[in-house]
Amino acid sequence: MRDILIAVAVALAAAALAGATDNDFYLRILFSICVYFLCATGMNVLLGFAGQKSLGQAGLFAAGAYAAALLTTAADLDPWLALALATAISAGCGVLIAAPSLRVKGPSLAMVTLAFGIVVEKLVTEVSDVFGGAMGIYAIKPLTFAGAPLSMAGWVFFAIGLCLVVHLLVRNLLVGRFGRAFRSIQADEVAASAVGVPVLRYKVLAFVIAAATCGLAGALVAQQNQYINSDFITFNLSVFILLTVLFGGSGSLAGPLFGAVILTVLSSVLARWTWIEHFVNGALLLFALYAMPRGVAGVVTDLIERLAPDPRAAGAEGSAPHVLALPTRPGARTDAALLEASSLSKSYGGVKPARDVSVTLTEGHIHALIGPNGAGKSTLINMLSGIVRPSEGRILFRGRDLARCPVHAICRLGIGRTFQNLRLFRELTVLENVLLGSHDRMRNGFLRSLVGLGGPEEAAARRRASDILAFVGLSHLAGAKAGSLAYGLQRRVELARALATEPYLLLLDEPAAGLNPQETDALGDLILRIRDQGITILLVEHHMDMVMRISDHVVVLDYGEKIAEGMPAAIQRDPRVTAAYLGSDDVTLTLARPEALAS
Amino acid sequence: MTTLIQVLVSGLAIGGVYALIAMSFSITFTTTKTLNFAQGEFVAVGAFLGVTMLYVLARMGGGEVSFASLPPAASAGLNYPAAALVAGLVLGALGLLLFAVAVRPFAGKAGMNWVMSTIGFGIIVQSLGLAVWGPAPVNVPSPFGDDVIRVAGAGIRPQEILILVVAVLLMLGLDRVMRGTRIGKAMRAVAANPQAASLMGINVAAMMLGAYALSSLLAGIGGLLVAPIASASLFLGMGIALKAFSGAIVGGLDNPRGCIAGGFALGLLESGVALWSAEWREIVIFLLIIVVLAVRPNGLFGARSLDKV
Amino acid sequence: MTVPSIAPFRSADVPALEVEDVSLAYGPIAAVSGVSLSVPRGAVVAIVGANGAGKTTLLKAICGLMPVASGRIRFEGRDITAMPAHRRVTAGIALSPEGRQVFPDQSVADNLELGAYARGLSAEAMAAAMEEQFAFFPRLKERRNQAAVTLSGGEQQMLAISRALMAGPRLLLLDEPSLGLAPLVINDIFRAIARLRDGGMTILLVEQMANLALAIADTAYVLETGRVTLSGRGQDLLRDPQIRSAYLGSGH
Repeated sequence: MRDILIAVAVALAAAALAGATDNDFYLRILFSICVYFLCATGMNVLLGFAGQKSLGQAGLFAAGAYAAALLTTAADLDPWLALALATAISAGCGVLIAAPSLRVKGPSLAMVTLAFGIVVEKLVTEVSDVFGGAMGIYAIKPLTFAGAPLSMAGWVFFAIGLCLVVHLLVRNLLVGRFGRAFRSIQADEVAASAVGVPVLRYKVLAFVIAAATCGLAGALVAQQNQYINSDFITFNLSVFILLTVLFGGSGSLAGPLFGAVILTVLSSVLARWTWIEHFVNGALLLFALYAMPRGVAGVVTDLIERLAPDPRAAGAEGSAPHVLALPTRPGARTDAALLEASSLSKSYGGVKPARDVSVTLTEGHIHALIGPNGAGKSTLINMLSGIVRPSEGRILFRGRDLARCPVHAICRLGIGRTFQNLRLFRELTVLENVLLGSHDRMRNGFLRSLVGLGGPEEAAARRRASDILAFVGLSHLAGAKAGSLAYGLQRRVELARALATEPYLLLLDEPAAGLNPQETDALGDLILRIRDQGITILLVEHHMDMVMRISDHVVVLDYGEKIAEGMPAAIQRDPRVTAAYLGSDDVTLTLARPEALAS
Repeated sequence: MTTLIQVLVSGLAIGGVYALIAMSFSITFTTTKTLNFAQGEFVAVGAFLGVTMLYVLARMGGGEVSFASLPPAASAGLNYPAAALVAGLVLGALGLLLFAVAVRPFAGKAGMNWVMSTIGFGIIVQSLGLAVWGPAPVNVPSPFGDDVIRVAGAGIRPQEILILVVAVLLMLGLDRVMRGTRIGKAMRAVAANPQAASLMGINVAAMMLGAYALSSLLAGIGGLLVAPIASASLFLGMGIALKAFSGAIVGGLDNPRGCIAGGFALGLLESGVALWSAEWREIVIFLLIIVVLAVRPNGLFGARSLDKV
Repeated sequence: MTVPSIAPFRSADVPALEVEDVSLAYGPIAAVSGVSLSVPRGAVVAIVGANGAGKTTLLKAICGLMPVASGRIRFEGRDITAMPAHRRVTAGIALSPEGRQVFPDQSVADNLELGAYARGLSAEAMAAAMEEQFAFFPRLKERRNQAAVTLSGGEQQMLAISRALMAGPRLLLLDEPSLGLAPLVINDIFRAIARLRDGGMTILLVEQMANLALAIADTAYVLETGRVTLSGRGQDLLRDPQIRSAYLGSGH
C-alpha cells in the first residue's frame, strides 16, 4: 500500500513541477520522460520479470505511432478513440512478435525480435505511399480537451496521469500471482511448468503488455507532435528502451522511473554531440551490466536498507506449532490404481534409458523406485510428469490418458514433483516459492488482478502457504531468499512448493540426496506424515535405510528394465537386486589377480 | 536469361559475404555458445579501417586524394590485400578485447547478459567510428576497377567476382581446417563438450579466445570486401550482419556448412526479391526468417537439441 | 593378448598418486571431506560407494576439473593441486569420464585422435597408437569411421577408455565404467580393465558395482557421504558385510 502512496506523490510532484514552469524546453523533457517511462514500464514486465529479451521495441513504438497517425488522418477517427485503438493494435503486434518466442529460445529469439524491429523500420521507410517514408505523415489529430487541442502543459499533465494509471495497473498485476509467474519463467521454465504455470501463455502475455505500453507511448508522441516520420523508428530507440530498464533497475517496480528520468535528462544534455551521446549510452549499458546488475533502483534500495533496516527482515526464530493438516483436493478415494503406466519405453539415438517398464501406483501408498546409477529412474519420473515424452507406452492417471498433456496440465490434474538437482526459484523468497506452487489453485484472472481485486484469493493462498510451511517446519524462514538457505532446507522448500500444488500424487526425485543422516531420518518422518494426509508418493532414492523403513512397495530398475518389485524386505533379499547393485558373483572370480586369490 | 544470370551473380556475390559472416557467427557459437551482437558494427569498422589503409597507402604513394572518394589507383596492386590484412588483424585484436570485456564475464551465466553487453560494446565502437570518420558514406574503388563486364548481356562488376572467389576460398580453407586438422578437430571438441575437451589436454580458454579473434577477423575482411559494392557507411553493417545471422539460423548455427549454404541461399533470395521490388527486399527476407524460425526453431539443417532435466 | 604399451615411470619409489586430506564442496555444500588415499605404481585402486558418496567429485578434483577446498594432490611426487586440467593430461593423467562423454558428432578415429591431442604425434605415430587401441578393442576398428553417437553404450565405453589411453597416461582414471550398461557388457568391460592391469597400467577406478571393483582391485576405499569409512585389500573387502549394507541398507 505504501508504494501506491509514493507513486501518487511522485506523480503529483511531477505535475506540480510541470505547473510551475512555462518553459517549453523543460515541459518537453518532462513529456519525454513520461514517454520513455511508459515504454520502460511494459519492457520491465517483459525483461525484468519474464526475462525475455526484446531488441525490437522500436517496431512496437512505431505500430502505435503510425496507427494513431493513419487512424486520425486517413480514417479521420476521433483522436481519443485513435489513441485507444493504436494501443490495441500494437498489443496485437505483440502477439505477432511473441509467436516465434514460443518455439525459438535464447540468442535466436533476441535476433528475431531485432529483425522484427528492422522490418518495421524498413516498412515505414520504404513503403512511402502508406507511411510517408522520410517525409512522414502530417496533420495527425492531437488529443483535445473541451474541444480545444491540449496545450504543452496539458500534454504533460495528461501524460503524467497516464503514467500513474499504467504504473498502478502493472503494479497490481506484478504484486500477485502474475508477477510471480513471470519471475518463475525467468528463473526456470521447466520448474515453472512443473508447478502449473502455463509458460507459453505467460510469455505471450508479457510480450503483449510490453507492446501495449510501447504502442501507447508511440501514439502519444505522434499525436503530440502531430507528425511522425521514419527517423523516429531506429534500432537506437530499441536499445534506449532496453537501457532505460536495465539502468533503472530491471525487475524493480521503481526501476523504469529512475531509468526514464536520468537517461532522458542526460540525453537532452548530450543531444548536441551525436557520437558522445551514443558513446555514453553504450558505456552506460556495459556499466549497468557490470557494476549495477539491479540498476539504480537496486542501489537506492540497498541505501535505504542500510540507513533504515526493515524490522521485519530480521525474522523471529520462533518454533511455530506443527500444523497437522495439509490443504488437499477433494477426490473420491478409490481402490483402483491411482496411476497405471504400461510398457513405457524411451530411446535417445542408440541409448535406451527405459525399456518396456510398467508400474502401478496404489492410492495412499509410498512407492519407492530404486536401482543402480543410470538405471533410468529419473527418466521414468520425467515421463510421469510430462517433462520427457515416452517413445512408446501409455500412462493413465485417475482414468485420464496423459499422452498429450503438457507439463503444467499434468500438474493441474494432480501430480506434483521435486527435482534431483533442486530447481528452486532461488531469487524468490521461501513463501513466494510455495505461493508459486499454488499458482494454478488460485482463481483470480488477468482482469481481476489488473484492477487490484485479487486480494481475497491472494490472502487465501497465503493462508494455505503458511499452513504448508508450518507442516514442513519452515514457518520461521518464510521471508528468506530460497537460494540463501542451507541445502537440506532448500530440499524441504521444494517439497513444500510441490505440496502447494495440492497433488494426489507426489513424485520425489532423490529427496535425500546431499542430506546428512539426521536430516534423512527427519525427511523420512515427513514423507510418512504426508502420506497420512492421503497423498500418494513415488520416490526415487539411494538411501536404502530410509527406503526400506518408509515404503510400502519397491520397484527396482536396472539398465532401463524393471527387474523386481514387491515388499521392501523381499527386495532386500532378492539376488537379482544384489547383482544389479554389486555386480554378479560369477564374474568376480575371473577378474581377480591370480596371486591375490592365492593368498 | 540475362536477368537470371544477373540475379545469380549478384546473389552469389552478396551471398558470399553473408556466408562468410554467418560462418563467423557459427565459429563463436559452437565454441562458446555466445554470439557477437555487434558483428554488424565490426563489419562496418573493418570496411573503414581498410579504406583508411588504402588512403594512407595512396598518400604515401604521393598525390592528393580525397578520403570520401578514393581514385581507382588506390586499390590497385598490393594495396587492397594489404588493407584487407590490416582490417582483418585489427578486427581480430578487437575481437579479443570484446571477448575479454563483454563476453567472458557473462558467458555461461543465466540471463544471457552477453547479448546486451556485446550490443553495448558495438555502440561504443560505432560511436568512436563516428567520431573518427563521421557519418557520411565513402566510395571505395574495387581493385579490379569498377567497369561492368558483360556476360551474355548481364552486367557483372569485377568486385562481385572477387567477393565470391575470396569468400569461397576462405570458407573452403576453414572447412578443411575444421574437419581435417588437429586444431579444427579440437575446436569441434570444445564445441561439443568443453569439459571433455579439457580432458584431452585442449586449452579450452585459448580456443574460445581464438574463436572470437577468428570470427572478428572474418567480419573485418567481409567489411572491406563488401565496401566497393555497397556505399560504405558506419551503418552498413547492421543489415549485413542480420541477414548473415538469418542465413546462419536457417542453416543451423551449430552446423558450419549449413551456415554457408544458408548465407548463399539468403543472398540469392535477396537478389531475386530485389528483381521484383527493391523496397520490399529486406522486409520480405526478414519476415521469411521469422516464419522459418517459428516452424523450425533450429533451422533447416540444425541439430535437434535435447534439454537434460 | 594385446595390451597397449605403457610409458615408464619417472622415478621408482614414489606412489603414482597421493591424495592428502582433500576436501571438496559445491558452493556451501560439502561433497568430500578430508579424504586421503594413495595409488602405488602398477596397482589398481578402487573407490566404491553408493551414488552421491562423492566418488566422481573426487576424480574431478584429481584431473583438475574442480578446485579443491583444502588438501594436496601429488602425482609422482609432484604437487599438481593448482595445475589446470589440460596440463595434467600432458603430465600423464587421463580420465575416462562418467557417462563416457565421447564427442558425439565426430568419428571413432577422430575421438581417438583427440585423445592423443596433447602428445602432438606424427601421422605415423598416431596411426600406430590407434592400431594399438584397435587391437585392444577390435570392435572399435569395425566402427572407426562411424560417428561416436551411433555406437552402442558398451562401444562408447570402450571408446572412452581407448581415448583416455591414447594420451599415453601413466595413471588411468576410470569413472563408473559400468554406468547404464547391460550386465554382460559390463563383464566385458571389466575383463578389458583386468587386461590393462595385467599389462602393468596404474589405475584408479571409481565404481558403484562393488563386487566387480573389489575383485579387480589390489586395494580399495569405501566412500560414504564424502568420507572414507573403510579401506583395505580388495579381496578382503569383498567378503565384508559392511559393503553390502552400504548399498542395500542394513536390513530391519
